Amino acid sequence: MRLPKSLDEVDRRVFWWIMVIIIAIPWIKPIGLPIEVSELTVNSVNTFDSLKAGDIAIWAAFDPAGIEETGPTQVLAIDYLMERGVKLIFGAWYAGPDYAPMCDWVINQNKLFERYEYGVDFVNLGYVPGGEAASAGLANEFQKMIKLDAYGNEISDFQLAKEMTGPDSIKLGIGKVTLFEIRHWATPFGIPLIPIIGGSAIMEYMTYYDSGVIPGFLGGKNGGAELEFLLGRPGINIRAMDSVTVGLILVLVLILFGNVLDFFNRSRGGI
Amino acid sequence: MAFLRRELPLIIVGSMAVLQIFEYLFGVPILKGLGSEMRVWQSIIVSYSLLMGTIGGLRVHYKQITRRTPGKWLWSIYFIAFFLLVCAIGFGYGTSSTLYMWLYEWVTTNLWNTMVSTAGFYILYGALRAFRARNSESALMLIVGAFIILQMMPIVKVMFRPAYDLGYWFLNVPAVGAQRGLIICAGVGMIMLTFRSILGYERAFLGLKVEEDT
Repeated sequence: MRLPKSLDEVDRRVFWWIMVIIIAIPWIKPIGLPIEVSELTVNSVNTFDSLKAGDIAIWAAFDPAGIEETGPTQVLAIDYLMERGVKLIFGAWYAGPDYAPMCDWVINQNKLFERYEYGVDFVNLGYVPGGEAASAGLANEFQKMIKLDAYGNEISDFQLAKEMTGPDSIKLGIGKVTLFEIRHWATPFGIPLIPIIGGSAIMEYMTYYDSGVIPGFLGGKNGGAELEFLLGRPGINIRAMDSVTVGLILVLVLILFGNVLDFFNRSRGGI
Repeated sequence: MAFLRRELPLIIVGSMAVLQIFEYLFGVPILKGLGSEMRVWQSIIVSYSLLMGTIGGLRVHYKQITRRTPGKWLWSIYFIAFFLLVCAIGFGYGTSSTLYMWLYEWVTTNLWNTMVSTAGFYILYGALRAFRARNSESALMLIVGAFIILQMMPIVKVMFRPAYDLGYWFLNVPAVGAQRGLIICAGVGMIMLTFRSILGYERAFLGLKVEEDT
């Protein structure tokens, strides 16, 4: 069997199968590769730790496509905050109503109804229409804008909603906090934001982190694994990092192999 | 009638935009009250627009079915059937019910994840084709890309710190600088679009045809 002159000659499904097998092996039998926590994650946890019991944080729902990448990180962060006595308001306003069930998902994952008191420790607003206007409204006129929770109850009946008297009531924004919250929470009122985002958005949020607009963020599986490691709660993110690392090594090896083939092909007078 | 279709919407858009801008930048108390009211109105209008969007979407699919558009009408039946199923479960049992959440968690999110995960395979193949050192620019892209990939591996940070630091520098300095440029350009573009909308030059959102615009 001769070596291909170029990786283009090889059926792409071969690479796909190699990737599936290579990634599956450390998932089934974890290797336990070392993890070092970055400054981003340390700053994020320091921000969590700066909150006192009774402080209110608002969690913005993320898109269902990110449930595997950032879902475990979101669940862990919420669990950590609530164990510290921080009260949480869950809501979905970034895109359409399809984000709203993520509030229920994350509440169910943490079993919040069993462990905490609804209306006092946490409230689920569900879908808040308006996008950026909703984001601004949550900070500026919460009582005026929000009338019902996700289950149809009057929001004014809840102790937690009564404590939302203005932007000073919000001590943290977490979850899929985006440019909307940077514009209407962080910039005018200095509310700290810890976005929990996918790997593809890291560069965008790095600009805000470098500028000091946000104290930190948790990006992709890396951020989630570092959070688990730092909090001493190993979970699915740390386990997945072995597969991520091995997959990236495969990509580098294939890129190198492809370039070596190209080099030899050109040196022999090929295309 | 022309006033209601052209000038009145432009006046509303312009005045609301000016109100929101002044309220955000200057924080004058009377403007704060008006701005607050407008945000609540916007939330209500968005709710109605969702309803309009749903009706519009159903109309499109209904037309596909009645016209038996080849290659589309069957998918439109699936869409409407699933739409009615989810509505029935949502209205009947509630959107936080076990059944609704089961549908959401095991159908919707899995479909999303399938789409996102499939992209990973194509990204691998695309990377193999893109990262070829055929000239100096592509060689530079290959080197930078390799270091950024190395930076993403925790084991490199632990065992070979210089490679991680270099990859982090590539990410944190040139890439972030370019990203800042994009954000600034997008911001300037948005400002220009806002001014055009306030002054009435931007009318595409009115849905007017070009010959009606003059």
